[in-house]
Amino acid sequence: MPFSTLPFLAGFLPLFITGAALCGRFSGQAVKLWLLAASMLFCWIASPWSLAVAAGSIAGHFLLLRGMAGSPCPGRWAACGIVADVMLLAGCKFLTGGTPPLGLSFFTFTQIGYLLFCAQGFEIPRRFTDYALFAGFFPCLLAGPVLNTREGLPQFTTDWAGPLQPDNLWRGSAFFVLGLLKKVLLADPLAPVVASAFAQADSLTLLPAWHAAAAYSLQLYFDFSGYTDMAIGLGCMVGLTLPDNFDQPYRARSVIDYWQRWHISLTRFLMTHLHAPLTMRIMRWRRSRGRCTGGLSAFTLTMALPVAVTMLAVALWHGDRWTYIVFGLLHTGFLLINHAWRQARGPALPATQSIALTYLCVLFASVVFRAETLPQAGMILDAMLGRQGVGHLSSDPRAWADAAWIAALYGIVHLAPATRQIVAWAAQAGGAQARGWGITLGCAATLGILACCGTGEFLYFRF
Amino acid sequence: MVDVLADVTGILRDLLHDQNLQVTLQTRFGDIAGWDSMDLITAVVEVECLYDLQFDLQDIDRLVTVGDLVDLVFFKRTLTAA
Repeated sequence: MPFSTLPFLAGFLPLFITGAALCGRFSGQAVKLWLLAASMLFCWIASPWSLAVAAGSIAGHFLLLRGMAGSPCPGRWAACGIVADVMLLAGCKFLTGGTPPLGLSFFTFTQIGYLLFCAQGFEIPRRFTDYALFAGFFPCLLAGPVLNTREGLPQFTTDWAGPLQPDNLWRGSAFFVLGLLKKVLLADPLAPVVASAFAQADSLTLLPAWHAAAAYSLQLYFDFSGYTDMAIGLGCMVGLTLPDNFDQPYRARSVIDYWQRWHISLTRFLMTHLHAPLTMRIMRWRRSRGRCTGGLSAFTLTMALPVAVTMLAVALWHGDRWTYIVFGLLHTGFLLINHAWRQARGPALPATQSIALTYLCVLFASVVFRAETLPQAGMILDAMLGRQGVGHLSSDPRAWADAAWIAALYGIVHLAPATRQIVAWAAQAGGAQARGWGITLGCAATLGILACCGTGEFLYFRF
Repeated sequence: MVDVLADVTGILRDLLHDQNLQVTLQTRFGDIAGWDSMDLITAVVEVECLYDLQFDLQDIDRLVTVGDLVDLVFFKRTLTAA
């Protein structure tokens, strides 16, 4: 059930908040139980199979963690759990061919992170409710963020006060409304433009191809970051702080910088649990043999190999299409060039040039990511390079309006403050200013609800 | 504490090819010009080699400031000595 649909906005959301408020009158533990029940209901609405997989996975991990608690070899327990998780992911995503259970990737990655931390001595939760809510909190199930055990878990294991706080409800609502607007007003209108252009990849000329690529990169950004804002807002309403997943990624000055700003929670998960351990093992191994830290072999082993493995994981996270693999390879190449440039102490480009060059890399890779097949991606990239003809400027006013809309969206991407900043300004306002913010957000919510009728799915659902 | 900070500063200077780099215990790694997460991994391995220590995943995940790394070295050395 996407957050920008009427059944969620008019049914599930009021039920979720009203139930939490009523339970808050009894105790904080009652609120936790309610949130867990709401999360399971959310899975069940998606499909009974989704509920069964989520409940089975969470219960299985909790039992595994209890086993780890008294074991002299917790690492072996963790390894067994991770093997089972990877098999479940691979089975559901790649072998069955159907839609995977709701939130499978997200609750599995969150729990793998927990297993790895616990294998190194992190405290194992005592209450099943706390653990289950941490792993299966419904706002994080559709498109993240992936919760970090060390930072995310404590707020689930502490005792909650009970009553919902008006300040949290206000902040959470502001996040949610701004996310909804990004999704339904900025991202969704681009969907038909993108779908139509990609369907006619073989007949695109230069300008329509660039228009399609730009429209897709903007759709993906507003769709995904809008979703994240809504998830953060839902958590905030009940007093939970979910981590940011975006930090103005299209303002990145290098591809390395881009990956530190895009889908931050997944990047951090892979850096912490895959890239860093692999790199460190290789570095330690080389140091133990007295190998030098520079040169081509060091670069290949300590830089290229871990980056390639990590980007392969990013590719497989999205699915088993060849386009995702090529997307991963492209970003591996960009990252390695970026790292090599830094190591060679190449001069830094001026800000505008570095932002433009980074975005160009991201844009080309996003075309491959969006395409359904490699030939389709090749045709659009060919068209962007002018190999399918330059075409001519359209005299249709709608084409010019579309181009102006894309330009306006780029303006928002590069000039607008982050959602967290806007919410902070609104929260600090007092008196007449506060009323002004209230009215503005109320109007925005109305606009969002009106616009969301007939909206499609979040792009990131399928992953 | 001062010696470890000096060692860490030296490692960071070599890593970033900037012999004028100045850091304090409060300096956040992310705020150092030209820093990226790969530098943290390299710096941690260099510190491990220098002090003959080995850090865990959990230790590295919580490194935000230079002071965190210095504290970690002290903590691990104390554990090793005990």
